[in-house]
Amino acid sequence: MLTRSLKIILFLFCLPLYICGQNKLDSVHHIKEVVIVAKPFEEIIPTQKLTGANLARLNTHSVADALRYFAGVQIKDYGGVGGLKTVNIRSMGSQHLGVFYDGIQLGNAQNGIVDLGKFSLDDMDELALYNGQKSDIFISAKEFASANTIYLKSKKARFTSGKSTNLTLKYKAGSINLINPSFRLEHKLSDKVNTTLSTEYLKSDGAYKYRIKRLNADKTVAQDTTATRHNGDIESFRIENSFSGAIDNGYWETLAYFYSSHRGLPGAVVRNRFDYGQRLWDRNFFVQGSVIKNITERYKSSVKVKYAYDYTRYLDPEAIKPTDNTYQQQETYISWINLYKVEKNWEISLSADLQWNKLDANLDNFVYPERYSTIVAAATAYDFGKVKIQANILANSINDKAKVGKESKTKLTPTFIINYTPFDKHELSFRAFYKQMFRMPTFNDLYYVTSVPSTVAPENSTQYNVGATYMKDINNRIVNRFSVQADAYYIDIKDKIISSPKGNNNFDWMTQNLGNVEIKGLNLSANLSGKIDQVHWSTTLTYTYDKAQDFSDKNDSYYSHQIPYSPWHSGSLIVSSQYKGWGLNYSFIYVGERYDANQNNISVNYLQPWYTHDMSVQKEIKLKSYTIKASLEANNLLNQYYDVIKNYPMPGRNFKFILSIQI
Amino acid sequence: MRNTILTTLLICSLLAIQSCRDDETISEPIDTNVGADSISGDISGFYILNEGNMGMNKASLDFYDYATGTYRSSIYAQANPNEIKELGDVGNDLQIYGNKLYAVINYSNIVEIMDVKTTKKLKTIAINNCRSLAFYNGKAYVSSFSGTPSGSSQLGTVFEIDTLSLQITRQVTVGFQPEEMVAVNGKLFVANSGGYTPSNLDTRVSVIDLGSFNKIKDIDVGPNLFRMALSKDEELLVTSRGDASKNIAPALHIVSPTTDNVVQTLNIPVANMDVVGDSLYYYTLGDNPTYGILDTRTKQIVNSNLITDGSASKIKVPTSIKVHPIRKEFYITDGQNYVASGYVLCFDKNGKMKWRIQAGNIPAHIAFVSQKVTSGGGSVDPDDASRYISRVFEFSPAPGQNVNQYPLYNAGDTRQMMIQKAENSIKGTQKSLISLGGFGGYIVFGFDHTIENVAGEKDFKIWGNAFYYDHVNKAGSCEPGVIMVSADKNANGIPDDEWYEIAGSAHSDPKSIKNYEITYHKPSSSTPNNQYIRWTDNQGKQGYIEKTGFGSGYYPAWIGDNSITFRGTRLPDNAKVVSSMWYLYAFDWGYADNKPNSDELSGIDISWAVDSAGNPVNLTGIDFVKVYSGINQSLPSISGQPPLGEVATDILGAEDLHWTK
Repeated sequence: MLTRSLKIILFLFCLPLYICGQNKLDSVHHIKEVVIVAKPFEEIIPTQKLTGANLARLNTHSVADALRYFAGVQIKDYGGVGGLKTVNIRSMGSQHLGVFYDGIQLGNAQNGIVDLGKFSLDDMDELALYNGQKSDIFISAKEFASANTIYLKSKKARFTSGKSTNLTLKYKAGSINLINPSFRLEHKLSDKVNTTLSTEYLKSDGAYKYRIKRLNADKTVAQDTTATRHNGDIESFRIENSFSGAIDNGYWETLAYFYSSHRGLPGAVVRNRFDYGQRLWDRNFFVQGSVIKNITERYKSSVKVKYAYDYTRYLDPEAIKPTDNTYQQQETYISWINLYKVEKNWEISLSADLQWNKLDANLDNFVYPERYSTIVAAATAYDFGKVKIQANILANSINDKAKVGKESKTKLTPTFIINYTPFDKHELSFRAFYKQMFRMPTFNDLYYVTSVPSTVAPENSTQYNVGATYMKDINNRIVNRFSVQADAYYIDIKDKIISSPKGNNNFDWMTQNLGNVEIKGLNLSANLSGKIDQVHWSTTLTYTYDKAQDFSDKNDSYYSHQIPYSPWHSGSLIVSSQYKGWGLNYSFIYVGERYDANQNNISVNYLQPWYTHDMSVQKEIKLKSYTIKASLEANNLLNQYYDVIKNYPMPGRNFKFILSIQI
Repeated sequence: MRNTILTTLLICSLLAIQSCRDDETISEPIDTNVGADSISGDISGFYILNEGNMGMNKASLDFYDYATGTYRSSIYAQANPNEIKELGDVGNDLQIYGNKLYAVINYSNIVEIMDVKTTKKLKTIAINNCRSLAFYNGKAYVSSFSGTPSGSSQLGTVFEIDTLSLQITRQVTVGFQPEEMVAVNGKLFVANSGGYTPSNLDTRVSVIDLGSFNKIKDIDVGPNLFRMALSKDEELLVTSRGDASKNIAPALHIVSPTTDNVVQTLNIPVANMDVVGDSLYYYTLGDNPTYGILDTRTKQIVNSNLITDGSASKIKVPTSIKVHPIRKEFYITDGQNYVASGYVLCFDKNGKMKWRIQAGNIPAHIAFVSQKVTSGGGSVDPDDASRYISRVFEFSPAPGQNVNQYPLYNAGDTRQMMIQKAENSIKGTQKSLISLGGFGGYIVFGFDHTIENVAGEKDFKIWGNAFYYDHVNKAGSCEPGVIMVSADKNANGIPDDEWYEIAGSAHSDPKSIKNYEITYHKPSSSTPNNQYIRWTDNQGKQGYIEKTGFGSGYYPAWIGDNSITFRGTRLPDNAKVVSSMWYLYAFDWGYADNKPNSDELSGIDISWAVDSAGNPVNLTGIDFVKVYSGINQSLPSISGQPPLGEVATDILGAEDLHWTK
């Protein structure tokens, strides 16, 4: 059924272009697969990537939206332009995901969650997801210290010969009253030093229509109403400035980042409450830098530093005790990474990170926690030829200081990775990894307005993964390249941190290590790309099966049920084609049925599957030295009204127009 | 290439296994049967309000039917399919008053008023951050966290809703974050928590005078007050959740609603409770709650192990306890982890679990449904007929400030319709107030069986709303009505037999006037307020019932005649001014609405009956009762306060004191 529609789609896409395409292209240029399946010789861990132009072609604005196209990713999307979007990989929970921006982690000691809706794709070169960790041992201890990692790589300055300045102006306008101008300047300061400056402004009233339609049991209409989403407005501003340069046998880079936003928080649409007044202000600032140098033939070293200051203000004028809370987080971070090549095929590394976090807030009885983290990782990688192995041990120690006392926790966790490439002539590889990881309790877990500080232990995860990748170049009239990767996983989460109200007293919460979740799943992705006459096309398909069961307490009625918001089945499809300066892109996302609570045998908790069809058309024109790109996007073409999170309705059909000029 | 297609096919078929999106339907009821049960008294079933976790919009109503033993969950949407987003978000209280079901839906900011029988919505009243319900004299009271800004927080509000018009009539500011309430003695007591300001918890019970609807005082009780109930002896039971930062433990406080002070504080950390008879069923706060019974007379714990079969371990998070008032079966609701469905557990009176049923998300409030018992009727347990009024035969109030209000007169109502309304108010355990107006106004009602005259015992009791301000002199708001009784000698089921007067303590008082006759004259639109209802009597006197600020009723609107006449024994005036306040003194015994209902001397001994000549009669039992207002006294304005109007007997119901099922 779907295969047929796929064929039809392909046909429809290609037909007009095919007819127009009279001339043969002189130079053959591949268009890259949208989701790159990693080359078996390069990556030994399951990896998915979205890069450059492919990112731009997706009808997505934020990093979170783009991540939906990866297998094994679940997004919690509270709707709209400004709504919170959090990501979790393989049902492990958002706190088990490390997000790295140019190699340095974006942290949130307060709740451990990074809102990836905030990060625009405009300045991204690459988005990569690693299950487990990077296939490299020359990484910081923090990079070893997440169960899954996402890398956001910012655009680097690239100059065509003779040019020393690039300027891009971009303007996006959308049907949800969105305006989004941006500007990017790249400049070559000297032969060795480049700088980039980019800014972006975004404003939307976030008001879109949604529909509530319910039928009676006999299928007659019980209710059908259309309402407007309120308080979803956002205004944000971002500016980034980077410098990078070469040194002898190495290079360095720095980045200064500032983001400021003011948004409404569209609350749950419940009876008699369709509008809310809660507001959120965010200011994120960080400066970071890194230097890498090959000190000798065998020894290379890198240092990374970061200072971050995050300010959040939350205003709830509707509360009985009107809330106007401000939170200030600070982080300083330094990492020293060392790699030593013992032999040609044998590398060892040692990295040590120190991090300090502090949270201030204007809350009653606030305890002003500070955290000192010391993370050390020792790793080794050996290449036997067809077999590659990698192992590391990680020691993580935190020392908290708060007004109510001290907390110390230390954890030691190992990882083993093995990769086997049986044939020289075929791009086929098998891999397996075992990784123990944990997440430290966040400041919220430990110090959230309780009369007594909680004693919460780290939440532990153990991942087992086996998988394979296969790729092939095909000299076919239509298909040029094919790749597929499959991974099966089993994850055991112990001592899951769960917060719940204390008895009948709604004013007090307790946090305990109560949960136990077992996750079994399968990630599949496949790419096909090729050329039909002058039409270059590519398609990517992903599929995820994920069974995440709650095994916390045998006596619970929901023992062994699927955890909330984890669909058993999900998938995506991207089809893109290019002809001369034209581009046509279609994408489809499917999220299957799931439940909004950890009890699955009752219809009140059931959430329907949702799926959206998005389409975009682009045209690129070269005028003298200018490159002008125009793009029209249509999202949710079938105008499906759905909730990702219960009672947070998503937009129906909407449009976006993008114009950019490169000088 | 073949591989490619195969793989694509495989992946696509995996996706295609999944069903597509269907149209969403409204929540549908799910039935669970625990086996047929019997009805006790007039309790035919109960509603359960499931609170629903915040933001999930999962508040729902379940119903348990004793006759069929069926537990039906999530019945609201089916009864009200057009209601967008169904019952709403976070239920917080559920109570039944008259034939209406009231559900407080906190996060949706509404009080949903439904028909008890059909669950169909009658009206939605918007009240921000509404919390709990109490009822009194035809009014519903709703506490709300929302109100007047004070410091960094807000003082809460209590709203008054007229239960007939379903309109908000008045509101009053109380303390911080008011929770549960009790209305008694013409006053409303409100437990303030102050829970939003942990560093400065509220400790007060606010006392609202229901006449003026002003806060008259605050009683300092304990930090973070929450639950409140009334004992049989009319003492308030108030829970406080304590203040850990000041090392104040949670406790149960006994507060007098007459002297308005704390009588006793018991070191029991009561989380939730229910009062039946002299027993307070409770469970305690904390991770390992104990379930017990406190004797509200002795204030002693008489049972600290209410659940006897070990099934307490099945309860993860108790959210409420409710006791069947007749069978003493009790129900405990279990909120589980607040996310998955909760449970309702039924225990027999010996504490053995009878059944456990899955309810909705956080079941936490139970309201018993009374079924109107008809004589020899239908599904009623034959040895459990009504101990209360079964029928009202006649209702003829004299003019008075609450006439046309209790019960409410609507344009076009006939005398017969007003009789029916009076019956609806006081039949069974309805306990809705009706007013008999000034002297002579009367009601005639009966029971479905003969009330036996047991030698040396009080045989029946008429419920009024009398209470004392002055317990020593037994004075306060006592509005005595003369009681007459009759036996159905001709066995035709209607009160056409001879009437005998209950000779109360004032019968032989020389100031009592036998065979008094009074005629009230209908006012015109131009009649001045202070001469509103003119009366003349057979003693050659005349006077007026003044129109006060309180009522709007007076002359019974369904009476077409320009005057109405009543006869009977006029009791001596009982109201006196003491230190600039009207005190209405109780007679020693033998009248309706004369002493608080809890007073043994509010009971009536049929042996007190005398014939028209004043001679005692020896009745073996009675079938019919007539009550008429016994005082002809107006209470004019004193010291600039508004006049209180006429002394009028108010009735809430009646009870056969010998009844055992």
